[in-house]
Amino acid sequence: MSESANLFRSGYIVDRRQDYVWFLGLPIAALVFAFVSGQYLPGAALAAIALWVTVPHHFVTWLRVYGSPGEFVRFKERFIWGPVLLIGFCYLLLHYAPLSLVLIVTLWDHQHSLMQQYGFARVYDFKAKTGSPSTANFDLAFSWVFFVNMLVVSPLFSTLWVRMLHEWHVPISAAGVQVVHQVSWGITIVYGIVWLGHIAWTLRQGYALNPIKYAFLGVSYFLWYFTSFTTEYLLVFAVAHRIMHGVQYIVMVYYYNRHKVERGISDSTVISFLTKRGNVKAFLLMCGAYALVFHALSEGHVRDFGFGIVGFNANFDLFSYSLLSSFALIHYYYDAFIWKVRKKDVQESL
Amino acid sequence: MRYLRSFKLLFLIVAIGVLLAYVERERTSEYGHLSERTHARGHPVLKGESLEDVARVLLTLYPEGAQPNLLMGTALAEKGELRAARVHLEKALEADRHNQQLLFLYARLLLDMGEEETKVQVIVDELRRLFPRSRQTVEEYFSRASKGKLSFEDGVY
Repeated sequence: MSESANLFRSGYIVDRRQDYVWFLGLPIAALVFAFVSGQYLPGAALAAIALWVTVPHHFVTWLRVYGSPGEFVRFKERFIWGPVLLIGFCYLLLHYAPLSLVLIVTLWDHQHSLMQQYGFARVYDFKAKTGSPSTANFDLAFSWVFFVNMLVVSPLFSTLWVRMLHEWHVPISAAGVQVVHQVSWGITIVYGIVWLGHIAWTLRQGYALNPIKYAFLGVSYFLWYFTSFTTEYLLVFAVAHRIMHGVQYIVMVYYYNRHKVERGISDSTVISFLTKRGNVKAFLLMCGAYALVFHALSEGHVRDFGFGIVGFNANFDLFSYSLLSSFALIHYYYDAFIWKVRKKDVQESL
Repeated sequence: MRYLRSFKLLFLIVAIGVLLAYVERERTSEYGHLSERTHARGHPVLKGESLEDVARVLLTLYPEGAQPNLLMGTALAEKGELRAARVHLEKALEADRHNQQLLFLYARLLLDMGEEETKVQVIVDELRRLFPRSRQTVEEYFSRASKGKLSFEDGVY
């Protein structure tokens, strides 16, 4: 009993109950919902998920970085110039080289998705004080190898990347694709064995493991692999993935902000109000309000409020549309440096 | 210098974007393998030989797949080979009945092949039900294309 307790030590991102709901149960519920959507709901279901989940998950990033003077000042120049540059960048690319924008957004989105699950895995080890010093590197490699393998070999994504290569006039033959598939599976199987070997080594060295982290990684990768291998309907993958990614992110940031307030290290009255016990509804309402404003912006409805001054130009439609990509890129960009589990100021609020 | 270093990731992304944009524009003008964008929210897509090439590769890999069959159906329809296109589109529909482009193309193809209006109407109604956002455009298009033979009642969906 005590030996197994030494080998396995559970630690949670929020607490036992919340983690079971949001980090272990939600992916399964998202999977079921996605398959039901694919069967019974129209294609517009994906747009609704984007509006009610993906867009609010961007909002919580803005809330964290712009809602707190202390957070804002840490990377002030990036928080000011980043949006300006990325909005201009996306608009110009959409105008002059749309395939380049699609490629950048797609690749960064995938990197961002795998890094989020990796980041949560780091939090699990941090909270439970588990894993060896090399675990982070092995988990990072695991995330890259397994996620990229899914993109390379699954029928859903193979169809997309083969088509994209042809769009870039880099034609690949069917035999070439099969070789790529085999190489990818080879690398993944070999690395899977190495990763498991490292886990065994970690235990032998006397370091404990957090079983919740492995359950979390298992359920996340199950969602991705299952949807990309069993359906050709992109909506099913996208709905399941967006629910898991967006909701888990919102939960993570909500509790991060709340811990900050509870531990007396928050300097923001807005965040203090929104994370106060009993104010979850206010927080969700703000997320919903933001989604509506963003929807009006990205759909070009702002034109109707502009007295003919805003949106008079024919390129306004293109600009509105480019906001979908630019806000996503700003979110990926910020997330690349605001979440570093090794940083002390981040650790304090986890 | 420290100030500029803090933007390193941003500069990298912009540099990659500029490089990709240069390659994209070069390739597009050199090979002419992409169709022009038709509206602000559309993207250039493969056409002609290039479309048939990618469809052939994907059909070898996934002969029953919706996308490969849709791409081949589109390529053949573009060439005017409507019968062959229909076979592929019907195969694609067996795998995925939720694809807007597929349903639209199939309905258009049936119309061009002189099929009965009731057959076409079923597909167009499916389009209207699954994609309510573009319902009006679809109704106008098919009403015009069928010379008024297809009719759409308000409030059906």
